[in-house]
Amino acid sequence: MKDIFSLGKLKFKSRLIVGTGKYKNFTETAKAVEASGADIVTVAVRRVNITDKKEPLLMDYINPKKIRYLPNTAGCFNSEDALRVLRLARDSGGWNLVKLEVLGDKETLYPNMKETLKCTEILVKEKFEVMVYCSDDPIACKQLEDLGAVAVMPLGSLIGSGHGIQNKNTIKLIKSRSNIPVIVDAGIRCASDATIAMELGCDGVLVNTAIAKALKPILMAEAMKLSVQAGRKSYLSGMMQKSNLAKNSTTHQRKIK
Amino acid sequence: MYIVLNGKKFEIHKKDTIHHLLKKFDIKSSKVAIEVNKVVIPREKYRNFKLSEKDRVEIVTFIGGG
Repeated sequence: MKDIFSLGKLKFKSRLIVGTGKYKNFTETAKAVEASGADIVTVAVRRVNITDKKEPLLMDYINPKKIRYLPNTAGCFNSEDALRVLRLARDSGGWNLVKLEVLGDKETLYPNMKETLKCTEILVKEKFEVMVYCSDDPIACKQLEDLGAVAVMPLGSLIGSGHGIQNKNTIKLIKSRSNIPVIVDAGIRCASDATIAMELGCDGVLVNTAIAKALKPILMAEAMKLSVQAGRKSYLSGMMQKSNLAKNSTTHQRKIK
Repeated sequence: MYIVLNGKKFEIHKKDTIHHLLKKFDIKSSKVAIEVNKVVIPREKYRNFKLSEKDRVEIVTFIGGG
């Protein structure tokens, strides 16, 4: 069965998007990305280190011609900064597909939805295809969809917290009302968290810290790949109905008496 | 004359272009994006884009991020 993951005009095989932050070095990042099977990696935009010509560049380790770079706006707390970063990112590689995150405060890294909505509207007008990190709020997600976002990315729990999917019901509700992909962004700690997100019907998951901060990141990257695949197949299989009482698995017919 | 490059004062020659600046730091244009005074400068303009006194220049690239 073909199961293509569409984001705007683009199509992908893997439903796992991986972040490239927090690794020991770029060699480890590249190995983890490869093990994850991801077609898309998130990247941040920062100043070039002009005092150290020899400082390695991410592009030397992860080839943007082979893996889709998804520029993000990590660290932006207002729409002006976010717009500036994404305009630069687009010029750098011609990438229209971007991840918008406008943060509310440093302690929670919760999205500032007022700024996020404002920024989404401008980016859509500028022909960006915008994937939006957002609160787990079905109304806000619908507003983003109406503004023209190509995907909504509600958090499962706080960024980098590893608390897993704390909001199964709201994530499910968001998915049931969305006509665009829903991707759980943030909170995932282990493979089963990713599976749960996929079993809820989400179209994909974004994982960074769970892989980068595992003791064996490359092994965890592979685990995430398999768990996303398992969760997706489980969701598509049409799960059995729950029952409050036991139902025997073996027939009583021809039982010896 | 000087410009402000990535937040720091930097001396350049009067007729220097963005292309000259990148050459000075041995930076490949394909791996960066540049804005001057908050306006993104398209790559094809680097060669002829002359910098002016006190221009605020940002040279950015991609780093690891989530």
